[in-house]
Amino acid sequence: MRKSKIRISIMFIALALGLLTAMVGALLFGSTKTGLKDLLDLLTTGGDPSVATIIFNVRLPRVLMAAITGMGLALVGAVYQGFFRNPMADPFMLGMSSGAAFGASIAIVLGLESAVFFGMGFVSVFAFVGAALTSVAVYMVANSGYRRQKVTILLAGIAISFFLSAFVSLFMVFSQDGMQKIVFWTMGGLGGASMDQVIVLFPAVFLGGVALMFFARDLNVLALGDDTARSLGVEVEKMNLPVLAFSSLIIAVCVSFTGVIGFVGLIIPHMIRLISGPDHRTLLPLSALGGAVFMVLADLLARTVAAPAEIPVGAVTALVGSPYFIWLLLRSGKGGALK
Amino acid sequence: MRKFIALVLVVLVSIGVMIGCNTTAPKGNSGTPTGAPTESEKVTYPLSLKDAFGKVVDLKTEPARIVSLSPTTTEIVFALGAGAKLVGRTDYCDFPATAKTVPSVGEVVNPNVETIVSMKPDVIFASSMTKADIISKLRQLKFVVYMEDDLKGIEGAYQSINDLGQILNAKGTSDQVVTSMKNHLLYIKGKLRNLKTRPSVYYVVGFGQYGDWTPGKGTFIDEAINLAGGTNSGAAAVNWKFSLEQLIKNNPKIILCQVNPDLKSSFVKADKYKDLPAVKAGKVYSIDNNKLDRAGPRIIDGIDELSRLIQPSLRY
Amino acid sequence: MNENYLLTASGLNFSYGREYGGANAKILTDVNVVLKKGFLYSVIGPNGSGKTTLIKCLNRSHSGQSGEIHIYGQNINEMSALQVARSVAYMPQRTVIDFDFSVWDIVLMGRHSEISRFARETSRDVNVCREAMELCGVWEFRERNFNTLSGGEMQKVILARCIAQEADLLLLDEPLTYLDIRNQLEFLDIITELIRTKKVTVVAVVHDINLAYQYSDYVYVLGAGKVIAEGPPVEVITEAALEECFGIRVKMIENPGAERKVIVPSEII
Repeated sequence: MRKSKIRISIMFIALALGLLTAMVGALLFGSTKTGLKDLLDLLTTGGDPSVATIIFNVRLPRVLMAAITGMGLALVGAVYQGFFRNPMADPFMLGMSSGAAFGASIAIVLGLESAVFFGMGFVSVFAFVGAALTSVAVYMVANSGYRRQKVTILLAGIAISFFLSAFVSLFMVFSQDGMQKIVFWTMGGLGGASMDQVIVLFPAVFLGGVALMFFARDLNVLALGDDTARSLGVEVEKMNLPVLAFSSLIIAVCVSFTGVIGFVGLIIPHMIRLISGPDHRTLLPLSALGGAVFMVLADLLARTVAAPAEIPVGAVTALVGSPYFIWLLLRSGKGGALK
Repeated sequence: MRKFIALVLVVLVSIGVMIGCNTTAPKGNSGTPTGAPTESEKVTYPLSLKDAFGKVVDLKTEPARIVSLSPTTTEIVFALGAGAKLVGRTDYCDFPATAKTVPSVGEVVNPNVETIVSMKPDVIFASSMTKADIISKLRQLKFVVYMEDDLKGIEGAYQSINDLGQILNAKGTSDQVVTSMKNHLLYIKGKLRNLKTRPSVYYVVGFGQYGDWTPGKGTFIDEAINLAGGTNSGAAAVNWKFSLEQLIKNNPKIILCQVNPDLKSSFVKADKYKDLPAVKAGKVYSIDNNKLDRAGPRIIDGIDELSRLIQPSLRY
Repeated sequence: MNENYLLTASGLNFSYGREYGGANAKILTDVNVVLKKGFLYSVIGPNGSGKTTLIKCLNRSHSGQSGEIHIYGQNINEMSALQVARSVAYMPQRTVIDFDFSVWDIVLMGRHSEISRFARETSRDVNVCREAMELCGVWEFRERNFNTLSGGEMQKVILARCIAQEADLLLLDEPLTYLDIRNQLEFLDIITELIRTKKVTVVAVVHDINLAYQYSDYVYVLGAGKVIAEGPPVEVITEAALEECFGIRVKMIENPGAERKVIVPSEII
């Protein structure tokens, strides 16, 4: 259905305001009772310094990380769904989760966990390198094969993903204490978020996101099929490298800091599409906003619901998101955007 | 290709060396960096100390508020008489029983940073089980984090107890605790001199469909079994991984099952395991593995318990 | 190559080599094609004779292993995809879309080569699309989800998209195959009207020999990857030619409703 411009504008405003509200709210709630009153005390009479630490040094980086990661994951999910013409596509389908886990587990098994490289934990650096090299490998394998078909890229991703997961399993079996740490790393979490990480994450996601927006109209036309898209003037083969490269950059950086957080990249674009339609010019930015709001709220729940225990964010996103998505599907009466 | 691999190795080693050398020299002149006990002097602050991972830890004053992220250090804190200063612990810090009344900061691996901050600790004790990014975050927030190493067995226990004795201005107590532990160990060794037989012992960490797990040669429990008068039937395990076939073939005389979580009741009933001669002879015992796994004040008690199970005929 | 011709293709050879996952089967051998403005060409031949491959070579979906294609005298390999799109429109056999685009969205995509990357569609773009949709009789469906249309309606929407491209050449790959007889006739009427008013050129791969015979100005007959005959239908589609090409015997009988005869198959040889 053609969505009116007004409806789209309302969505943008609603999501932007929602994001702002969610972020402020997430700053005021946590595993301790520090809240609005404490913040006001701090600002007026200079109350308890640990309040400042909690709100600005513990919660704020986490909230920012959640927002930026959510943006990146949802945006890349939307891009992949259009690029591969596959409504089931998600940001980790090209093996990047296995690549990141592979890198991280090498660092953990080598005992490099506490080592630091220009302010970044070694595990994060290795995870990033693992994810980045995986996408390079997938691209190279796909490129030397049946070059015209996107199916090749997908298959290469699946194959490499299995291969690397097998290595991670091997690492876990042969290193008892490494196993627990690898599992925890993979489950993901924003507990160690710091502003240093935000400073690295934000430009990567922003740069990648702007670059991907460049292809919004092409993604629309791609829905008609590669041959038709080509006939309409889309340089289908030439899109492969930049789309995959920028998407991989975003995902590699996100996953190296936060582990593998599923569900967001798959479902948020569908939720947005159900309301605002499949035009990528609006779908991409709205998905980014939607992903940000969702992750901020999910992380808030993860760290407050069972405090002081922390539920893995990926579990929260799936537990909370699935029922809501199912409700949306039922309400829209058909399979929504899924065929 | 070989040159490339060599180059990569050189780069990795260089990075490792750079990191190792990148620790600043300790400030202050009180307290020796390795924590080796001097006479029972009063500890003076500010204090600099290297923790079990070589990180230099600086304390300005005597800590009044402690958060422990490791069950081992929780035990040590109480053993040093500083239990009243403990303001936060993990869900797994269960000994002594009074520790359970202290508010929790979450799990061992992934404790909640915000909760820790709200407790305003002067010092945080962590272990290698704590997620590294949480430890970096706490250090980035300018908290003093001392890490102990659960894998270093008896020597690790002495080091941690001595270090914490220094940190908490309880050197007298820590010296006493360490001395009594050393005496206890000597006592046990004395009892076990001139043993006629050293029964083979199999120590069950895990079994069944997820594989057979037992401490192999080089682990602390292997050492403990030997100290306690037995031989480790599972010594050939690689990174704790063993196999049922080898277990059957080695036919241990005594089987010890961890009690956290309880393995004995399911072990003796499990298919294929129940036919082991040791099971049939009723020589399967539960053992409190917390004493052995935590490189803390009860580690010699753990060896004591082991020896009573392995060499029951020796009277104590 | 002669600039008077809309498209010339000479010495086209094509096989599905390794990069297409094929076994080096030769699909096209030394094919030459010349297209002039304002005519309806049909391409007929048995299954597997290379008709679809030929179409895909002409719009550069495939690159022939040898041979040259020129559009208005310019080598197609020196043109960008956008440049080709401004001259050549393409309609595939089937269009399957996984997302819920509206009919209007689909037709507007035909203007992709004209609208710059971050610009919005202009009123001219809107008018061109509207005209195309009205010509094809699908304007009333503009708000509908494309996937809810019938096969015939879908084909007309895709045709409207091709028309909206304002390209001089329309390549249609089996446009009539999934249409019922009424839709087939409507479709051909739209095309002939389009050619008459806009002087575009249409190349259509057709299975129904009668329709090819009735409607085209020029026919290319393909057999085993070669052009075995070409020319006006009356000259090329003869009983002898059909026997040789398709291996069937036919009768050509007088058609009371139209000038050209009707072809009736009589037996398989």
